[in-house]
Amino acid sequence: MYHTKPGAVIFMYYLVLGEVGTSGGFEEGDKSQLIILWILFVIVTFIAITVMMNMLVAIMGDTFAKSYENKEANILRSKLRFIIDNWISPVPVFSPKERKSTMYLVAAMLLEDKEEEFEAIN
Amino acid sequence: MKLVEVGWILREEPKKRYGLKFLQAIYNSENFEIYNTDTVKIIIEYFFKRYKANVWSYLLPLYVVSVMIFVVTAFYVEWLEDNKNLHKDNESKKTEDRRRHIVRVILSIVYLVSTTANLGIVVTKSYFSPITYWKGSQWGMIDSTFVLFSYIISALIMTDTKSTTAALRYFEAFTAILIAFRGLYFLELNNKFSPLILIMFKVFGDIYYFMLVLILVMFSFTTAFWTIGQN
Repeated sequence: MYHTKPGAVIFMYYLVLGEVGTSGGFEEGDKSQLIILWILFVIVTFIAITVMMNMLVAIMGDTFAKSYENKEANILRSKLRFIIDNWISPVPVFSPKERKSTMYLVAAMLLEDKEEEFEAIN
Repeated sequence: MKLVEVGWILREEPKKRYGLKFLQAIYNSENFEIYNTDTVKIIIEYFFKRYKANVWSYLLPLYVVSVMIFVVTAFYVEWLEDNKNLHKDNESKKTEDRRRHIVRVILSIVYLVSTTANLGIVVTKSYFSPITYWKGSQWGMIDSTFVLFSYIISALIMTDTKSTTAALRYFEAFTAILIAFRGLYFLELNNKFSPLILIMFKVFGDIYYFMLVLILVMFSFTTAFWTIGQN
């Protein structure tokens, strides 16, 4: 399979995915290159599958952990991005009257989180 | 109780856009602690609620219409292909060809109108919010590719040859994927879906350099196997 250029690329792609037969196709022909091919096979499986694929999983896990740790902040940031993206809208978000008359936002916050802070201060 | 002054954001001058600049400054801040402050939370939640309702009213219907037009066009063009050359005599064949051409032109025009509406949104967002739309997210790239492919599709629909029909199918295949990805924009508005979509695209960004290294490793071993394979 790997003696042609496209075949070699496909062979390597399957190998990285762990999809390779028990013999790796090395038994074909006069078997004159068998030892060198098996040495290469062991090296590539160690580097590509054991090292690289586990690195990929680790990077993905790290990204997931970091993003999940800052979940609330990330959600707020994504909402902010959405607001900025749609700031100029073909359908007006606020009526001219609303734009003119709105001065303040009054928000009621839950005290549960704050109580701990107050206790710490006291 | 918290009182936050937002009047100045709403009454921004169209040329200076202090409100937009203020929000962009928060977005560009690398300090994520800013999102833990009550003032920022109140401002974001308030504007998000208003903009979400606004987007549901025009962007979602436009998306649904685009999807429907795509589906109808894709199926109808295939139906036209399946029913080609049904007539044996020349006169009926000519009439049928003329009818097919008219239908294709109408489909193409409808496709063109819906794509132009999408282009208007891409241009507006790119002009006013290039940082968030292009650099800060994947949506600029996805939307503009969708618009480009849709224009190509509408041009291909009009021409009725064997090669253009084959090309049309390629573009339709990729547009179908882009349509699904564009749907994620609306799912991102939901708090349950939002983290998943954010993480998914963040992973794509984070593995970029890893993929370069992997490709290099794969290339080196591919060359090694191919070289030995020549013996």
